[in-house]
Order: sequence, then C-alpha cells, then structure tokens
Amino acid sequence: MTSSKHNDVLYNAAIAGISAGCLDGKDFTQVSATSLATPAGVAQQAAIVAAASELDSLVAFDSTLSVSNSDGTLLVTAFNAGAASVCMPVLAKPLLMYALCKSAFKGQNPQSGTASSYSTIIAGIAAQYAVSVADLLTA
Amino acid sequence: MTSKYNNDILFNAAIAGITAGCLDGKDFTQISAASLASAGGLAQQSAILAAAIEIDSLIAQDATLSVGTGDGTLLVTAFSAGTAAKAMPILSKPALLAELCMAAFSGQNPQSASAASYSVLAAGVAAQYNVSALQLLAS
Repeated sequence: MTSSKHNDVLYNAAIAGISAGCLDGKDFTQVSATSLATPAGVAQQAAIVAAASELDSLVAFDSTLSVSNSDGTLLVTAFNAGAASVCMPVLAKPLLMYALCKSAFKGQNPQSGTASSYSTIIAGIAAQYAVSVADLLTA
Repeated sequence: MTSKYNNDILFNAAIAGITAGCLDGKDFTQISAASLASAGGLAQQSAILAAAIEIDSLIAQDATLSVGTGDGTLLVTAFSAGTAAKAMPILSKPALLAELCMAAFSGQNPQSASAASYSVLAAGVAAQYNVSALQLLAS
C-alpha cells in the first residue's frame, strides 16, 4: 500500500508522543469527547497532526521500517519470516521517536494547523533522533 | 547471535527513555546536528550510552525477551508462530522501561561516560522496573 508519508510507523509514534507531551501535566478529568470537539480541542488535534506531518517530512524514508512505500508492510514480514535484525528496528525506533516527541512537546500548546509552524522544534527532534538511532542495537 | 548485553530490547528502550528524559523540558529549537556534534553534545550522548549500559547490567537476562543470549532472536518466533504469552512481554516491557527511564532522567544532565557513575540512579530504575514488570499482563 502506498502512503503519503515517509514512514507511517514513525508518524504514528509522533502522534502518540506529541499528544502525550501536550497533555503532560494537564487535568485529564477535564478532557472529554465534548471538550475535544470544541474549536480549541479541534485546533489542538489539527496542530498535533500538523506537527507529526512536519516531523515525518524531516525524517527520510527508512527501509528498516517499511518495504518501500513508507507504509507498514514490513511489519508483516518482520514478525513472520523476518530475522531479529528486521524486528529490532521496528520495535526500537518508534519507541525512541515517541519518547523524543513527548519531551519536546511537554507543556506546549500548539494551535497552528500549518505543518511548517513547527519546523524549528521538529528539526531539533529529527536531529536528536538521527543521532540516537545510531546507538540502538539492531540484531 | 550473542549479545554483550543482558537484554538488547531493554537496552534500546533505555536509550530512548534516558535520551528523552535528559531532554525533558529543554528547548528543542536549540538542538541541531551541529549542537549534537559539539563537545557537549558528544559528552551527553556518551553519558546516555553509559547509563543505558548500567541499567541493562542491573536487569537480569529475561527469557521472555530473548532466547538466551540477550539479543532479539526471540522476536522472530514471538510474532510468527508464537503465542500471546510470547508477544505480550515484548510489547509491554520495553515501553515500561522507557517510561521509567524518562521519569528517572527527567531534568538530569549526565556527563560521565562511566557506567558506574549511574549505579544508584540505575538501581532505582531497575528496582521499580522489576516490581512493575510483575504487574504486567503476560497473555
């Protein structure tokens, strides 16, 4: 399946991490389907998607995470007939991305639905990700 | 494949969590390939690696995460012909350790490349991990 993203697996991790970061320390008792459907709630969700899209755009397509079109196809083979060297990146890289996004967006309140609005902070995440990935064990 | 670590999968999770923890609250717009290549950046990366090594050393080899030599070989069977009991620990234990590492290293600025420098902090992480891991559902 063809995806419009570079790496669907990392994009998903970014969505999770950015969401968790933005909500870090917030009062979850005030979060509801209703509050998330307000203009502010909808704007925040659009901002999270925009930020994740920007991050995806700054991390090159990674053949250890997808067969070709950036979708999750590799996941199927990685955990079936794959080798440990195929499985390890699929587990470790998204976790790294999630954790970095959570830290970067801690306490942030993004409201812009424009991906480029996050270019500077996203560049920082992408730079750290590129360095940290080199320390991961892959087999 | 034989690994020099107790659990490669947990080592990777520690790298993710420690990195994110150290960067928690930092201004990601100031992070770049250049800053990470500076003396300070390189020192931090070495420190993160050392801390991950120390944490790995304090968590015993886990048969639910590896066949027996610490590497990721178990991943292959866990998600192919494996059972839920095999797959569940591989998904949940790395996430647990990464989050604990994030919390433990939040606001820290480790600079020592000596693993032993982190023995006390790592012992706390390992102790909590070992207790919390018992609460995880395994099938």
